[in-house]
Parts: sequence; structure tokens; C-alpha cells
Amino acid sequence: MPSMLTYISRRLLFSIPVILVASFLLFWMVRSTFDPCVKMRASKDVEAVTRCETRLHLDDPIPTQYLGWASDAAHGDLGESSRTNEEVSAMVPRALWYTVQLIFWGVLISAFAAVALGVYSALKQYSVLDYTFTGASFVGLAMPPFWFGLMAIELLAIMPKQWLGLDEPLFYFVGLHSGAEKGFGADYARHLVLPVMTLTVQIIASWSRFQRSSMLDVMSADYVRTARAKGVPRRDVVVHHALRNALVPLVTVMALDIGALFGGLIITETIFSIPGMGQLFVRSLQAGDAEVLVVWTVVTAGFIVVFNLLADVLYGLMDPRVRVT
Amino acid sequence: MSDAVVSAEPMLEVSGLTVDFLTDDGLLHAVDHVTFGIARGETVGIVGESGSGKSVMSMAIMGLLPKSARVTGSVKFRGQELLGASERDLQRIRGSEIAMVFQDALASLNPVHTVGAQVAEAVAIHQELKGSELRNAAIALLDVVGIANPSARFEQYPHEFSGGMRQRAMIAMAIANDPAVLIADEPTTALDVTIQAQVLEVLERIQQRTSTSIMLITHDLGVVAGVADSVMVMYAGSQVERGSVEEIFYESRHPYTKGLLASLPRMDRRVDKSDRLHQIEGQPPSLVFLPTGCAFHPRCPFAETPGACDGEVPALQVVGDGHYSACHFPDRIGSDEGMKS
Repeated sequence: MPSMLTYISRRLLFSIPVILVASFLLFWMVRSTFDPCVKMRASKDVEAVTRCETRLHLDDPIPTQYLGWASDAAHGDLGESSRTNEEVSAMVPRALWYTVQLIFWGVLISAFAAVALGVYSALKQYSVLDYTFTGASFVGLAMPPFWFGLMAIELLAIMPKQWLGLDEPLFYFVGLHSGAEKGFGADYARHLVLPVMTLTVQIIASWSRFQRSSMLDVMSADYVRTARAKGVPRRDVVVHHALRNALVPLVTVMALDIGALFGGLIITETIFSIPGMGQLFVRSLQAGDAEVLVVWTVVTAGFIVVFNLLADVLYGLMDPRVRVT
Repeated sequence: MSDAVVSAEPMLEVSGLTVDFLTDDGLLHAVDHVTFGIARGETVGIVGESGSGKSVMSMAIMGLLPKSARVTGSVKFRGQELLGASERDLQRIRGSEIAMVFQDALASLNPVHTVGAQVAEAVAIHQELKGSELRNAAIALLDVVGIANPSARFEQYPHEFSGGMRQRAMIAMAIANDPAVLIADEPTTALDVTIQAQVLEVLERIQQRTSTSIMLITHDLGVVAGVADSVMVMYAGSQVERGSVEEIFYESRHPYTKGLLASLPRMDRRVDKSDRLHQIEGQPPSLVFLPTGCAFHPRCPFAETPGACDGEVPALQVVGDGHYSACHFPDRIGSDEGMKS
């Protein structure tokens, strides 16, 4: 499919200037708001302050500073955290890995649950279960995640532990592993349940509503009627003709939503003490850690751009009519 | 399509077919006691304006109406009752014995599957064909309906086809299993006249090949005159006249049919600029609040009101050999008297 390749490469080219402009604006805003050498100044060590200022070219205009920063970044040097004195290039990927795990499981579960609920509701429109799901999704959308997270800890971890007289709760609510545990085994799963649940409630609620309405649209489309007139069994009509079309808009919305999640799990990560991107952002902000904040905002913006690109590409892959334009 | 073999064996027998929808305003009578039959190889034209129940009737025959529709009466295919038949039986008949061609081919073809895949699907549901055999069968069908370069076209999507080509692809899907009955719901409406003629020619060729019975739903009397053997005229969900093409066009015994025919632009009649085309005064009635008596009486130039016309629903009566009219005074109609206003 040469048309698909041109389509993808064109979209890729478009996203490069977007990332460059975004990184410059973000750099500018963070540098104008925070002083990267604030810690040195507090120490009253004049020499250290001068060294810091020279290293970061703080006397130069912002564009020159940006060029210096971008060239260092291109060589793998993202600076040093003023909070922990650690390399930013080590901190951000570590935090990102935690967030990626949450997003991966959360999105996987949400996608399946939302499609299943949405398709069922659309096929059995105005049935008791359809109304139940509708009501539940309104509750899910309206419920603040911090409240849901805390209630989940209380109801699913602490109270069962007391009632059943267990030594350990069924589901943990601190971090993703206990003690020296590693890997993706039972311990990992018991840590994941509550944060992933907290993360998915709102996502499932909104995606399933979206899937329901797009499925309803498609079920009354003429081509679904054609398929039925051909004698296609109902199951195949639903999956092959209706769902295949109804997924096109949902996949786009999913990709855009996932892109925004990379910076947006602050509450879930805080409740469950998971050292991901959200937590890194809050801590760096509180400490005025300019070097981390620049990289954090640029990386988050980068994910939004990448997932927008992904949404475009998936749309093109799923709907042959889009490729032409 | 007079060249085709018309035998007396009834393929499809519809009797007393009634379709009601419950709406917020009350019961909507979309189709009211329609009775007709189609013989093997026959082409029946179903004529009527938008909202006269033509399409709903064809959907009722296929069993494709939503559950909210109340369908009563009888639809028999080769003697087998279709109303109330199991979904499984209907699935077997749909597409293989009774197939349908829809009006808007762009909307009626699935945009995300190739045309070839959709034609092949129609074959695969009812025949045990797989792989290259299936592909060849689908390509052969595209060839039959006159799509040039069918193996390349097989890979293309509906949006890459022109309007006429899409309608041909729809026909290819419908004839995939040599159906006994083909219901064509306004198959030429969105096409320009040349393409219209080509599509009708394709239908005609297929009928000659397989003696398919065709139910041609249209509001275009010109199309009916060209291809149909017999005609049924519908108004407000009821059939108002039925008969052979000749009788309907030259010996019409119903004022609505007369009015429709008089509204046709004529090439053989000289008109000056002040001369306007004939029109039937008034609007079609609401199917929820039908007029009492004959549904057409408020617009009928022959109506006797008060009297039989607004008092009693006219029954379909014999007015000639195989010619029926649902008019209280079929004998008054026949001259052009009353048609000029």
C-alpha cells in the first residue's frame, strides 16, 4: 500500500516541527518561571552559583539558552535535578516506566470492557442492563478518582482483611511490588488491582458511552441492512460489518486519550504511592526543580504528539476513505 | 421485460400484507392489505410516491423490519410462509432465494471492505466455495454485471467506484446465488439517465439468463413502462390499481394513476410557455390520520362527497382481465375528463 506509506510519512514530517516548537515554548516558560540555580543561591556559595549560571548560560537570551539545552539534550545530557542531584536522563525514564505499566494495564482492561459494554448496550438498547450501564457510567464519570481510590482501599483491602482476619490484605495499595519482590507475578498483580481500577473507572465510563453511540449509528446504517439482506448471520453482521465500522471513531478517541494519560495520573499515583510521572511532576514542582520540569513537560507533550500521530495513522489504516486525502 | 419467459407458477405470493408502526401520534399504517403475486420470470413494477409504503413492503417481505413493526397477512415464497418464519430459515432464503438491490449504493456498501470482499461474502454465505474458487466466482459476477477489468476492481473500495459501477456491484451481490426473486428498491434513482438505462439492461440480461422474477420498486413511470410486465400502483400504503403495463398506461381505471400519468412530461405534445405540467392537487395524507373512506378522495377530481368516497374504503375490484382498481367509480375514469383543472 504505497498510499498508506506516503500518508504515514507525511504525518510524521508534520509532527517534527510541532515537537520543536512545543519544546521551545515549554523551555521558555519553565526557564522564566523557575531558577535552576535556586539551591546554590540558598547555600550562599557564590562560586557555585556562578558555576551553575555559566553551565546553563543563564546570562544569554532564552533562544540561545534553548539552543544550548537542545544540543545537550541531543547528546543525551538532560541536566541534573536540583532536588536529588540525579541525572534527569535517569529519573524521567524510571518514572515513565511505572506510568507506562499503569497505562498499559488500564488501557487494555478499559478497551475490552468499554467495547463489550458499549456493543451490548447498543444491541439491547433500552433494556434493563442498558439502563444499568448508562447509570453506572454517569456515576463513574461523576466520581472523583481520589475518592474512588480511597473507597477502594477501604472496601477492598482494609475491611476484607479485618473481616477475614488475614495477615496481609488481598490487594496492596503501596507501590507496585512489596519489599524485595520483582517481576510480574502474583505480588505484582495484587499491587496493580486497586490503582488500575481507580484509573479505569472514568475511562471505561466515557469510552463505553462513546462505543454505544457509535455502534447505534452503525447498526442503522444502510450497509448493515445490505448485509442482513444478503443472509449474513446476525453475529457476523454485528462483528464484521457493524463493529468494524463502529471501532473507527473509538480507536481515534482512545489514542488521543492515552496520549494525555502520560502526564495525567497524578492522583492515582499519589494515592497508591507509585513513583511514576505524576508523582515526579508534583515533587519537582514543589521543589522548583527546573531541569526536571523542562524535560517532564517536553516528554509529556511529545507523547501527546505521538499519540495524535498514532490516531491519524490508525484512522487511515481502518478507514480506506481517509488515505486519499 | 417482455422477452423473458413468464410462466404462471407463482414465485412470491403476497396476500393481505399489512405493516403498522406504533408511533407517539398513534398507529401508523405503512402498508395496508396489499395482495399481489409474482410469477417466474415476471417483472412487477411497484409505483408510488415517497411514503406510499413501497420500501416498507419490500422490507416486510424480506423480514428486515425492526421489531417495532407489526406485520400481518401472508408472504409465501414457493408456497412457504415467510412471515413468522425463524430467523435461521430467513437467513437461508435471504440472498440466495430472494435478494435485494437497494437505492443508495454508496451508503449500502460497507465502506471499510473491498467491493470484491463484499461480493465474495454474498457467495460464501450460501455456497461452499473457498480461496481462489470464491475469488474467481466473485470476479465472474463483477464481469456479468458489466464491470470492466473485474479482477482489479475486486480489490477496490466502494468510494473508488463511480455511482453506476457501485449499483452494478450491488446487483452482482444480489445475483450471487441466482435468486428466484430479485427485489430492486429504486435501483436507478440516483443515477443519470444513460447509467440508468445501462443498469436496467443489466437487470434485463440477468432475468433472461436465470428467469428471475423481479419486483421493481420505483417512482419513475418511464422505467416501469420500459421494463415491467405488470404494474401495481400504491397510494398511502394501499394498492390502488394493478394490471398489465398496457392496461395501466392506456386503460387506467383509477384517478390517482391517471393523475400520475398526466403529470409526465410528454415529448409528443406541443406546449406553449403558459402551459404547465399537470399536477395532482394537495398533499399525500398522513399515514397516522388517514382520510375516511378512500384515502385519495380529498385530492380526487371525481370524488362524490359526501357519499361513497368519504364513507367507505373502496375494495379492489375487477375492471378487466387481470386488471383491478380500488375505486368506487372506475367506469367514470377512462376519458381525460376531469384531469384538466
